Amino acid sequence: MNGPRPIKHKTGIRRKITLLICLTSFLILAIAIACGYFWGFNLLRNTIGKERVQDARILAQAIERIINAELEDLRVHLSSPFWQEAVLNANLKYKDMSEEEMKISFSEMDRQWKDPARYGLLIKPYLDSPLSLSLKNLVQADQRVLEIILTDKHGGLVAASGEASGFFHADATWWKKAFMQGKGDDFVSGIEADGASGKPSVGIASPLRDSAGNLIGICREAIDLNSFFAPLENIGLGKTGHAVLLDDNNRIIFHPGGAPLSSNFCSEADFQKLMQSRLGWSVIKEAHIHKGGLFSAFSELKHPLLSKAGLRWYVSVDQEVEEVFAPLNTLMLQMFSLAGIMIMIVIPTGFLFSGVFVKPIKKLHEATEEVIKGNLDYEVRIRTGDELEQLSDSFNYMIATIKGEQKEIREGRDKLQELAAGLEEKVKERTRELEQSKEATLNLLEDLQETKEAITADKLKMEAMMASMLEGIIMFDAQGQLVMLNASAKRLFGFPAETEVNMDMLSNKSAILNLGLLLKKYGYKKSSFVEEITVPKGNESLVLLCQVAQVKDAASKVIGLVVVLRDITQEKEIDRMKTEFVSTVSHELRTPLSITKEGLSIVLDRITGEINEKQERILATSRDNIDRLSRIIDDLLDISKIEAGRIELKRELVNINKLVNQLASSFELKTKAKGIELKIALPEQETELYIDKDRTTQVFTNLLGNAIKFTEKGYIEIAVYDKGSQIECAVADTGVGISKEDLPLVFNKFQQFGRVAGPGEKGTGLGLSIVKNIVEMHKGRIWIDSEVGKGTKFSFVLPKYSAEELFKEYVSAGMKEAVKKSVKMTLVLVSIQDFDKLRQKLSTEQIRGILEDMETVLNRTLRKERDMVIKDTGEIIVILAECDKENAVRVKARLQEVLNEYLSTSRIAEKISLHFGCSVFPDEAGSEEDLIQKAKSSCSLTG
Amino acid sequence: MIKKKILFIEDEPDQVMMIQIRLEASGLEMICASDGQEGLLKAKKENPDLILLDLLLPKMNGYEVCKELKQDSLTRKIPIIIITGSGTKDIEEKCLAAGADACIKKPYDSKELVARIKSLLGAT
Repeated sequence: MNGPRPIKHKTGIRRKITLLICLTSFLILAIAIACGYFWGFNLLRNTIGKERVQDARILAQAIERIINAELEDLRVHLSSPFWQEAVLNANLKYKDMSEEEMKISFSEMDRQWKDPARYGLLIKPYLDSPLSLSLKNLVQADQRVLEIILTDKHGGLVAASGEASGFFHADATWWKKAFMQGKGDDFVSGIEADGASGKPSVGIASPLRDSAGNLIGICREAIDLNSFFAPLENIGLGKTGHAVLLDDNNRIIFHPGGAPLSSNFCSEADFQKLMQSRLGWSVIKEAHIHKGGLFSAFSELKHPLLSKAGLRWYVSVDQEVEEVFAPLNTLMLQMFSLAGIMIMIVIPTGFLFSGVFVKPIKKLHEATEEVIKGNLDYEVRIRTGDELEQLSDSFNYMIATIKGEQKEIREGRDKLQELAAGLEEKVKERTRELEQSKEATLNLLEDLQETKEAITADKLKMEAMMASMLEGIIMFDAQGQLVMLNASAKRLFGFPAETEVNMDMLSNKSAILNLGLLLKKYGYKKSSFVEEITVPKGNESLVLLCQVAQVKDAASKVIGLVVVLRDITQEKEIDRMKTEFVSTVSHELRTPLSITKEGLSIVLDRITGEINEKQERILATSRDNIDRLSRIIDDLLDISKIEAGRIELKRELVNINKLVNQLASSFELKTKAKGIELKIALPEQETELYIDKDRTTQVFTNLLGNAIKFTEKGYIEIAVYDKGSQIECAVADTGVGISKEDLPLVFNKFQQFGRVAGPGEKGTGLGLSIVKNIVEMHKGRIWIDSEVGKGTKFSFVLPKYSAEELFKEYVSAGMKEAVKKSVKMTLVLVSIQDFDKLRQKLSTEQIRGILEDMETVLNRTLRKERDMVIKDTGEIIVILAECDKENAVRVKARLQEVLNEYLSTSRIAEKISLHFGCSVFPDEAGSEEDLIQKAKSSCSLTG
Repeated sequence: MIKKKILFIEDEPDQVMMIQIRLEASGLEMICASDGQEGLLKAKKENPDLILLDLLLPKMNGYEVCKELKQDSLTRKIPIIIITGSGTKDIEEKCLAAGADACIKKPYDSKELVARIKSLLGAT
């Protein structure tokens, strides 16, 4: 027994599980941190961005509100009559002055105004005027306003809140814009330092009008820019947050806290980025007013006065990037700390957890080792409630099974030992029994010997009898094996007398093979049958009549076959000679008949000169009788052939309706000439059956001929009834009828009734006999109903052959013929591919047309002896007698050619493909079924 | 009008006589041969317009003569009517297989024979 294989634990399950848990946790944490950072960053940026943009907007709106409020205040003051009166008075001063004088006066005043020495004299009275004092009060009351100046309509100073920079203001841009060539309009000027305080300010100029609305002066107010940023205090911007006023050229207009004015706010690239930012905010890498990055949000000041003055100003709210993203950094720090804590927790947990899995496995391991040591009573207890518990249960069960089996083996071994002990005793006993039976057998053998002798005597008698018989006798057992063959049989088959003939020798002889074939075919099915077989003997051949009969035991079970062979070669020869004789005689008879008839005809046709009426009548009667003699010869020949069994029916698929119609039209002339009506009654459904067309026509022709001959008035009726498995035909007339006594004689040879003298076709007396023979050859039946003076009705039935039956009959006949003549026979099969589909597409008429055409084509091509069957399964089978394989292949190729040519020229729209196959007897198959099967299997598609 | 020439191959002189009278009465010229070989020779030499052929002949039978005539390029186009003694259907088929254009059974109807001859002559 092998010990447990030592396994070096590289990594234990416990460590593996711990590692797995840790790896999984780390992965999750890493993903969580990455996501948290990314999302947090974006969220923060967007939130702060939005907030800052909001702040900038609030600031911008506040500034817009300040401008509006100041403008509103100014308008209120401008409408006061006190101001208007003062300005109107000032204007009166220049009432009578010309333009030139006014200019001189203004420049003089301005020069003096700027001269410090003139202050007390000139400026003070202006500044101390009640209006100036009121202006001063206004400035003091509003901290946002730095200065207010009032001028008349020519630009001359009327009053000022403080020391004005000059007297004449009409040259200043703000004055011109507010004056608007006397129309007057509000105007906001750009940034400027206030004259008195030096503080940066924005100026607002507004026109002063009298009560009639005429412009009488201009007022200007300077607003402290610092006041613009006062609302900033309400917005928390953090430590580094501040606001800047920018123009659209990246220039700082104002920066509370004092960056130099007109300096650039940031790099051009950053500015473009800021301006184009959809969100209204951007991170500026390089701000000129601050080292390092700035988070900047902006909003445009949208005041109508500013846009009118062509000023585009922006409020930018900025904060250092570090400060903005400080919360994010805090968050990251917190996340990493959390991760650290989690790892600290996960590692020991995993380690402890894995222990739970490993413990039962260890237990199992221990149990296995115990079992290996041989301790089968060891039991594993694992109650984890999972697969491990199942495993432990299975393990326990396995151990229990092994234990049981070991016990059985031990018991078996004990039993074997016991048996071995008993066996010796039994052998001795059996030996004794055998001794006894041996004695009994010897006695029995003696008895048998006696019986055998008796049987041998019988057998010898039998053999002597068989040997002396002229007929050949062959016996086969139930399996078709040869049992006995007598001396005559050996002689007939051409075996030397002393040869011991066995089954193989029989099979090797081709003729015998055919006997075997016959046996195989019929022997065990029919109780007896007779068959003629041909056996080669030297250069000639023997015809043997072969009578086969079954041998049955007492229980009627077939135990073998006995074949009696009789040499009928001579009889056959005599038969053949007889037929040949008849045929020669008929030919030899016909030549003189022909000469005589021609001679009579020549005279009758006046070729040799005129004849009188009496001579003509005599000669004509002679000629009619020559024809009659000729018919008798025909009929005699026919009947001798039929009776000798030399005529074989050529069955083909015949449409009986068509046949009868054709017959009716060919007899119509004769009936009309006699004034008799010819009626036909046919089945509604066109009926087809396999019959010999020419012979059947002969039957109808003979019956109709008789009917016409014996009917003077009334009608003749041809009727056909479809009776399922057979058809019944009848030819009825309203003629003279036949008496009861004569009825049994009608089918006899040379039996004629009611002969009539005079012109007209005379009967031969053989017609009805031939009719009967033909009907019976068709395996049919004929009978007659007649009443003297009323008429006669001949009825006959013809059984419908199935194509299969007919086909087998042909193959069988072909095979027999081939055997008889020791030649080969070929079967050619033409089959229409997908015939069932074709039948659905085309009408029955079309299908029949195709098959008939194909038959015609085949008939034209094969002029030699052949049989042909057309099956309603779309197959045509041609049996070619005396045709070997080489010929067959040639014929097949020829058939393919002509049939495909026919199909290609026919007007059928459907494509028809044909299969062609052939098989040769006896080379390729020995029985009908094999032959057919072989032909089918060799089918190949063409065209 | 030139008379059409018929070659009659037949060993029975009486029959020859009768047919000669008949054909001449019908405005046709007839020459005759009394066995198969002579028939073949005359067919090639005389170049007849039609051949009447008996089946039972000395030396060569009618089928052989017919086949030979139909295989020879000189005589291939000459129509052949076989006159048979035993006019069963299979014999007629055999005649047609041998290449004959028509088959007439003894005792023949003179009018039918002449009609056949004329129709075949008209066809060539």
